[in-house]
Amino acid sequence: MGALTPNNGHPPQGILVDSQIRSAMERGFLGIDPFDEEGLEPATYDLRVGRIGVVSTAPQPIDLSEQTVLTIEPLSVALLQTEEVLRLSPRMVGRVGPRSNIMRHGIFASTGPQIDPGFSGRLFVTLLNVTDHPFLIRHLDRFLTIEFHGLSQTPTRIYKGKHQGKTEPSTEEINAILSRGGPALKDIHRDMLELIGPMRAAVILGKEFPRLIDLQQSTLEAITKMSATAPAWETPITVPVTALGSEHYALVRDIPAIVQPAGGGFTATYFDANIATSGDTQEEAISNLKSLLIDLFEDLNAERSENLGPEPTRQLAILRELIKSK
Amino acid sequence: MLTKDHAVFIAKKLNADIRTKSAHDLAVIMHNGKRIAQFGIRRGSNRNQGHNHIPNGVHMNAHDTLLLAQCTISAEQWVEMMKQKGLIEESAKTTISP
Repeated sequence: MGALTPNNGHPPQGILVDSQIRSAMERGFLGIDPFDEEGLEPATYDLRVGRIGVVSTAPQPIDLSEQTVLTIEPLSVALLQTEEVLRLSPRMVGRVGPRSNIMRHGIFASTGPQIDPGFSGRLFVTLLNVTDHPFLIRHLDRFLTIEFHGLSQTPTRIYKGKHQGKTEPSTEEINAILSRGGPALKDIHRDMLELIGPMRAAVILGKEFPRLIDLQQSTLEAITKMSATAPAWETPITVPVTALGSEHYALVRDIPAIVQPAGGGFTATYFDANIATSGDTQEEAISNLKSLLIDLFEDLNAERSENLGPEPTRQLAILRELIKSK
Repeated sequence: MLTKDHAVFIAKKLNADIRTKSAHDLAVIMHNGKRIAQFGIRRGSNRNQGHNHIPNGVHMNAHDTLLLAQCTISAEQWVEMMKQKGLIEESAKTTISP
């Protein structure tokens, strides 16, 4: 007799144990594909790291099946997918959390929300490394654990949200990680660590303490003043580039250039192709970006394809879709 | 802040091939005959001209890019970092070639 006989043939109400998880799969109420026998725990299933990883300190998504390890630097985030594609019947929900091995290393996972009845697809989870040392994770490492719950009856609605059927991260999700543009938190952390030494010395020496307090106070005031004016000049703006200003080339579509103040000037970046340049003014930065797009398009086109590494190959593919001869 | 001096120094350090283009000089970085990265160096005589876009070109954050310009990070270490990021294929050797 199967483990699902109560509850009118559906998975029983409550958390499913290992035999009930297996039975639910056999009877088509639950899909875990590919299923890993070693991942089946007494009342959970351990999910493994999928092939695609996006980390805020790398310029593009990483194929973990080709790279041995993904490094999450201190105070950096990574978006990971599960290897397994899940399929829940309308009479089941899932609750996912980090495995204890992840938590013990000081890694926070963006888990918690319920996996709704009727959901199918991969799960996508953001990991945050809050420690001061890099965290390494590999393709097929077990990193999440999921409970499956049987419901007392079929809900009136099943999950039909935007994540239904999704197996790869969206461009929006990838850009959200990549556009963090590096370790802002890490920089703050490093600065804080640098302050610890002088502060301790000041406490010991005593006489230095009042001076450091004054310094800290004036720094705080400066930061407060800067924060108050920040929105006016510090916020990046998106400028749509509609033309290249070239006699020979035209854009197939508009592209977003992100213009950011930096060091008294401005940078202009087309993030999709990871192409950036600078200018003394916003207008000059945009103008330089247009020139650089054409220069790179011509220069990369002139290279033999077998001489291009992974990133220039990717950049050329994007530019070929974007730029056409007049 | 990263300046034109930093950009030129990094280009030399990574043995970049400098190609004159319309608004920039293009610093093209090759590794074992393969092009792995590039960045633009702006025209102009001001050595302190802002080049804060260089981190994108060399695939590092601004802090590490400054360390690369200041010799704290060597060219060989940069190559290793690019390998870890998948921007140089694993089979490639570890010397930078012009």
